[in-house]
Amino acid sequence: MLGKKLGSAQDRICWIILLFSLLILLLPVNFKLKITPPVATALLLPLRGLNSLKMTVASLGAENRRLAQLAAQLALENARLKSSPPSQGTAPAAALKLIPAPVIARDLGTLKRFLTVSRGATCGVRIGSVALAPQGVVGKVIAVSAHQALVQTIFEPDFRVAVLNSRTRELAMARPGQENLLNLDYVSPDADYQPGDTIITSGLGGIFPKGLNIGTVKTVQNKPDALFKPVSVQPFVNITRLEQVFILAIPAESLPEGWLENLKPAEIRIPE
Amino acid sequence: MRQFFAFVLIYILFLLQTGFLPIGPDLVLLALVVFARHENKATATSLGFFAGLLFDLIAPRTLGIQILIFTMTGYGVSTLRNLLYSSHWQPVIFTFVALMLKMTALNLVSSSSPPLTLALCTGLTLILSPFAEPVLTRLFYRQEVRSRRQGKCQL
Repeated sequence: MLGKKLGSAQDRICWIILLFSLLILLLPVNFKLKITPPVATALLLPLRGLNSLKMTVASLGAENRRLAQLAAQLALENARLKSSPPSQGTAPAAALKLIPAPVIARDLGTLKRFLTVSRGATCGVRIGSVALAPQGVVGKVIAVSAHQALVQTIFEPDFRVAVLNSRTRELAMARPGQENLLNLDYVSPDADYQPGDTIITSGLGGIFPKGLNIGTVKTVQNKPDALFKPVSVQPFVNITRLEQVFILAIPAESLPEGWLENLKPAEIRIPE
Repeated sequence: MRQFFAFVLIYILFLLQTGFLPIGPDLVLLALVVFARHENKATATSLGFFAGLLFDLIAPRTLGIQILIFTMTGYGVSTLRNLLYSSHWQPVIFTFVALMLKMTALNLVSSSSPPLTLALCTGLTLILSPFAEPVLTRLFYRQEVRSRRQGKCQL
């Protein structure tokens, strides 16, 4: 008896809810639009918070990319200002273009010797173009197709770049070493290198503009009997964490002046 | 207490579905079918009403359609569960019928998604339906399942 009453009471509740649902469906649209906001505000508050969080994350991502490009531009400008003597004229800033190039592939062996980027000849990338990050030099472009380019990084065994000590202005040649470090060659035994010195590109060789950051001196071994002083450098750029590089594009039709004079093609051959 | 947590789970699944899985399985419908198979009619119908209300608040112009669909689903499943042979396929059949009802009703009010999206959502929901039952049963109806296995009478 009690069970039957409970069953019928449950059925009555169910029918009331069903009829109420039908009633809500049949309400006029204007009335629906009037009554829903307060209920929606209460029940959908976490959902609105989630949506605004997603939009914030997306806008932060876009802002991050914009700031990374700005940082690379400023690093380039900084290099130009550090390198140019006051007497020379200003470099043609309009001729320089930094092309943001996402990294789409890496070498499978170490993940840091070669990078494939998704910008190619159609975007103005050429063989020999310098690849930069906001922190410093990444490497140079060694192969280009229409829409992709291969970047040889500073850790590729054949990579070499002429550098100088920003403090003492002494020249050397940087090449990859062990344990994610670079080694400096041709450092004379009496050269003044100290841990913490900033190493920048010297501009010699016609590939890398002068003044771009390479790294800081990590260790200096004093060996008076050695032909050259062993110096190791900690690069500024962490290649394995790069998701995007900036390719320095200089239009072929404009010859660089001033700060970028070292990029002009050689006209006089240096005797060996 | 269990009924309260059922409402909470429906709400959490609604947030998950609308916030992170706009094109994905209908998690709320899956949970509703499972709860309706185990709870009494009033609870099942109320759960359906609550689930439908949450979806209708997103699109207030068509307020009432999803409320009606989910309420009918809750009531229908709780009423018919004893009339059909209880098997692993029962939740799948109920889910399929509920999905067809939902798609038909939403088409009538012209607020349905593109066909490919609908097909994908339907397919994913049906694929997950056999797995939703054991998961939720373990969480909410462990005592009943244990008693059934031991052959004890449930009063």
